[in-house]
Amino acid sequence: MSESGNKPGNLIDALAAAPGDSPFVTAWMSEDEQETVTFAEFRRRARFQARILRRHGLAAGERVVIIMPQTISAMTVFVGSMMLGAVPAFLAYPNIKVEPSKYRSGLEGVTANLKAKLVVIDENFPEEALEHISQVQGAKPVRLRECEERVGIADQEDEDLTRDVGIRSENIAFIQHSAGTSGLQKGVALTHAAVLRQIEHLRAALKIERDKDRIYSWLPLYHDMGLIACFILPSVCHVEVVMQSPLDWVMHPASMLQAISRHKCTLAWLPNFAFQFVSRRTRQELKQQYDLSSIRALINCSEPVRTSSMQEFERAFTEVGLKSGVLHTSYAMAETVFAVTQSNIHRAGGPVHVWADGVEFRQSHRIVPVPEKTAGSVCFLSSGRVLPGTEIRTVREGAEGSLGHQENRRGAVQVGEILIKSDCLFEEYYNRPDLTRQAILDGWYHTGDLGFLLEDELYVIGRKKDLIIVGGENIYPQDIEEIVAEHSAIHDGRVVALGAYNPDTGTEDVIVVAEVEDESLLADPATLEQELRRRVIAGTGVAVTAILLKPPKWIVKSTAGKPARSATFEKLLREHPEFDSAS
Amino acid sequence: MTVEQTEMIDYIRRRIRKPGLKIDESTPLFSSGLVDSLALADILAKLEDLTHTRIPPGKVQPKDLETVNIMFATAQRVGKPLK
Repeated sequence: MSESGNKPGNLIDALAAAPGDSPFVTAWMSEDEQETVTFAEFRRRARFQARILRRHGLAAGERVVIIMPQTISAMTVFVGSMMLGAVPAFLAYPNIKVEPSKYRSGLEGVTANLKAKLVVIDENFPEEALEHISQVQGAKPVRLRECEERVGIADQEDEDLTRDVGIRSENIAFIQHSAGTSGLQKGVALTHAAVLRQIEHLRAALKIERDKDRIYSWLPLYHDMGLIACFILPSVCHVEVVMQSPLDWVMHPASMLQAISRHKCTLAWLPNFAFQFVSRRTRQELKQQYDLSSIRALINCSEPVRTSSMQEFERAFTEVGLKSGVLHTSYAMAETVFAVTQSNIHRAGGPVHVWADGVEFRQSHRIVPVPEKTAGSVCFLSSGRVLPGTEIRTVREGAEGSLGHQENRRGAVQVGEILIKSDCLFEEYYNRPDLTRQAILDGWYHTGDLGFLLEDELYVIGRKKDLIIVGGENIYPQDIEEIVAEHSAIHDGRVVALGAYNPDTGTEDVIVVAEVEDESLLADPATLEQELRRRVIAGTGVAVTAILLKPPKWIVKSTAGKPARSATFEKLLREHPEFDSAS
Repeated sequence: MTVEQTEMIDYIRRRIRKPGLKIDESTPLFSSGLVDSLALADILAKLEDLTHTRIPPGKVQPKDLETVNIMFATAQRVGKPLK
């Protein structure tokens, strides 16, 4: 909302309405090194970036891919692109694990699909990847120097070039991607209007106040949670965000507590694994330096939420001021901009739980509520109630038409696929009408997630079909399977990549099962396993937890002759109970 | 190889649950896929313990921990002695 009370029509207007001298982004590099930019300074730098991008030929409606470390510069490039009416997309920065040639093929795929005009990189972007960007038809690499925007002087040209660009609310604002070769083909195109509606819904649900709230984040900007909740939301609601690089955080998890304490942050979003990751890696003797009393909501999102992970965090940090009832949940996805549901932040005791008959659940996928902690019961944690402008229904697999949520005897409901209708729904998978048609049917987005609705609370119990989620990031099994299957020792097409929940980490392990061509290889599998592991990390950046080499015909086949994931997983758990989190 | 490096190698083997795996001070840990990014914090904490230093956030990248040799050199370069 602008100072005059008029609602902004686009994200640039929303940012322009922020008080200039209020702090916007504090980049936390270390306890001794931070940089804070005000809204005015950020806007100036973004206009400077816009000028550079325009000089490289970027115009309204054109796409620009941004591959930069998580810095203020990356954010100003993103906003500078939008100031020109162009459509930016963040991609993950290449890391040590992924070979340039493999990274290149993913990058070529994205830039070709988006028909990107520019690919903006930083001064340290690897040369070997750079030479391949220039080969992609029409995409031009632009290497930015970190220091330029800090000293560039805003001038009338900058003001003029971003005025009257004519950004309409129904224009596409930016595009979000999932990770991996497969995920990079699904660019979620979001309009200014949809994003602004989402922010308004979140502002209301979380009671965000400009002068009282401060957000903390280590989340990557190429992920919806990092981009929407921790960059776009602060820019529209005019609150400060204290932002750390994901890599710095994962190496020093307790630095999150330091940043929250120092800046008295009130809100943060975390994937489930982070709750126990931080708890278990914070040295007891150092805890007293932290003060978490400022937190009013820590929201668990982006992978299945687990009560045990949240309880562990609460137990670990109550002694340093973490208040009771501040841990919350949300169900979110890029296809609805971000949040679909949000738990009630005013509810004493946090999100709702339900206990259900374990036998009915496992055998019939039916939820029959039972008294708390009944023997043999299963506990589910709610992801909250739908945000305004959103409808949810669940469809049982194989059922004709949609059934809504079906209550039957004893107040039981059936688990089914979650479908969503929302005023924040994405326009399309960019340039992929085929994927869009498969995903949105009769106005309902088919998520592929499994869950149930009970008394208006949504419980998400299963990941998207076949998708593996590690640390909040989506991993497409077929990306891994393709690489493993290429090895001459592996029987063609006989590879399955699976995710198995690991209660020690709070997230999934990646397990690969592959049939060898020659059973004699099983006598000494270590060398082959090592080679396959190396190829997977080089090709995808994913470190596989276990590679299980099996004799021919081990993997269960579907009636179509293809590997059947679910049946293979069940067989795997029978023969390898160490991967069964329920045992 | 120093005693501390040997201890780190033993720790890494236990951390990745492969007690019999051959790792030496030059074995690539991350680029080989042996160790994932979630193990970075644990290895860094162990390195701090073994070298009696504190390695501040923002001073290391994963490539600075790629092998046991490299990580001990990193600790010497950027580590602050513990009080």
